[in-house]
Amino acid sequence: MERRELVADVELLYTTYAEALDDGDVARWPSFFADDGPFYRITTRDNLEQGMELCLALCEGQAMLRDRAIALQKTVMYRRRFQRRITNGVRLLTFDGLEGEGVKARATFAVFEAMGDEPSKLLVCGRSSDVIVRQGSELKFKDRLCVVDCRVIPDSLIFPI
Amino acid sequence: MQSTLTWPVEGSRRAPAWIYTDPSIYAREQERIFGGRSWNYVGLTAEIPQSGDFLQSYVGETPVVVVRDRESRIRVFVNRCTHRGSQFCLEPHGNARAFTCPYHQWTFDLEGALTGIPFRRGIRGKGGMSECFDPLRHGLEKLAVAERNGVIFASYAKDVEPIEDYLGPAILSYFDRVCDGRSLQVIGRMRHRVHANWKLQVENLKDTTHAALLHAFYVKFGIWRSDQNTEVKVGPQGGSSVLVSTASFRPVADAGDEAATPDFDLEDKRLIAYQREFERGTGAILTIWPNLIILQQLNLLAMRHVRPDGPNACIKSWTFFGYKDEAVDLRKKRLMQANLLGPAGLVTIDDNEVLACAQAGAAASPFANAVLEAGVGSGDADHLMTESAVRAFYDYYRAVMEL
Repeated sequence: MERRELVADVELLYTTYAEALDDGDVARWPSFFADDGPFYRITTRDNLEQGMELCLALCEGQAMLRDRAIALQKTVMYRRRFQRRITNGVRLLTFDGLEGEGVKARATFAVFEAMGDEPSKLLVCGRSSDVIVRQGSELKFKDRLCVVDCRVIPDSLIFPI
Repeated sequence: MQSTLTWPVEGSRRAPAWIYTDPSIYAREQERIFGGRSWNYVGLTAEIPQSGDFLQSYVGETPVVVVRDRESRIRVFVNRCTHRGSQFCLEPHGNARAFTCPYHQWTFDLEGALTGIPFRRGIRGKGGMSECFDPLRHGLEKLAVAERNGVIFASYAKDVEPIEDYLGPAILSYFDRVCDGRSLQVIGRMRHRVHANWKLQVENLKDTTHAALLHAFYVKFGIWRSDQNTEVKVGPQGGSSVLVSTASFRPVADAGDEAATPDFDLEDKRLIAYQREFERGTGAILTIWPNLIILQQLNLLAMRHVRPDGPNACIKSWTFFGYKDEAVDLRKKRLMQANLLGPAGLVTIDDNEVLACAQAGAAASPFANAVLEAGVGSGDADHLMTESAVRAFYDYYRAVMEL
């Protein structure tokens, strides 16, 4: 595959991923991950820099992704809100292995949230370190690590990043 | 204070909404509660193992630095240079041989003494500090320090009773149940703002009834249900208490009044896979006056420090820990179960949200009263159908605040 084509496909993955979550379609969230042993984590720079293993969210495998998605829809109580994800600076670190181990990418994210009568506010920003594979005709996340910059998160982080 | 801020005649069976919103009450709390005869959690000894190690923490809303001095004793200083009031410690944690304020480079040793003042004698015989300036009188402001089994507390009061007496035997036994003298190891932190007064957050862990009504996740998986074996213990003055529960891990057969049981099951049970570690219950949640929550729920162990952030918000600062050299699979359980707690926690989100709703209600009607009529009295109970621990908290609160 041409590098340019790969970059465009990877960017499309990030865009459609953010679009689904911004649309509030958390049920679709697991479908952006590979069937085989995907790994999803949210942590803070603080924990990462100190070598702390604790994550704010940790899903190992498709079943755990689905459990979080369904729990968010069926058990968790929260007020209605709207989110907007801005993904920027998508960069491929490797170009080979899309069919095997996957290609490595990083990106910057910002999640804004609007609730009640308040305007959208920045909820979190940070960067992700991702591994992307091809599954059938689509690209999927095999590993997604979202590292949040702030030490104190200004509110609940209800939906995935 | 306004004369209208008068506690309702029902006593602690009511909590007036203005205690959650009024700036003068907030200021009085800083002075009388956090600045008074209280032991305030500031950190764990495991966070500062070596001489010179320090971490920033808070007593109420006052920033403090917790330091291990040259003789390995723990010291707690207000993070304020005694010269012009600048914060002298800027790093959240680290190791230092001394602290130098960035403004005029006054330097303090690890014991808090002022040891360095640039231009003390001026330049070429001109200027410098006055004759009557005595560096010995300008050391860092020190707080009293108590430590028990790796947990550090600080107090503005120099004559507050020992931490063991402060907690009393019942609370102490649950404190020692988790912090039993083994070396603790921090496994990570979570910090997030909750848009509610600090007391609403502390009360939430004394409120026995909400868990089985609000937390559908706990009910669904039988982790916290109203009919479980349980107990409530209230400490000597009422400010501290513990809620103990025993999970059945069975879904509710007849849900009754509880949260509607959601029609889904976990595909991957590792999220709640539990390994028994302690006697007496699968969960014990201690609230220690004024603002520490020691949480043991399944294999989750955390110090939850509720830092006041103005009348209308607090910062929940969670320090998750395990034990040094513990088994890898036990550590893994703690990390997995952490999905339930914190800003993205499948259970904690419920509380963050509902407390913000409670704060909004208080702000809109500051002279309305919360009703605390479940059960009677302010003592121990062997069931969860009581708000006695909340009433006990407000009995003590009123005494300290003279309200």
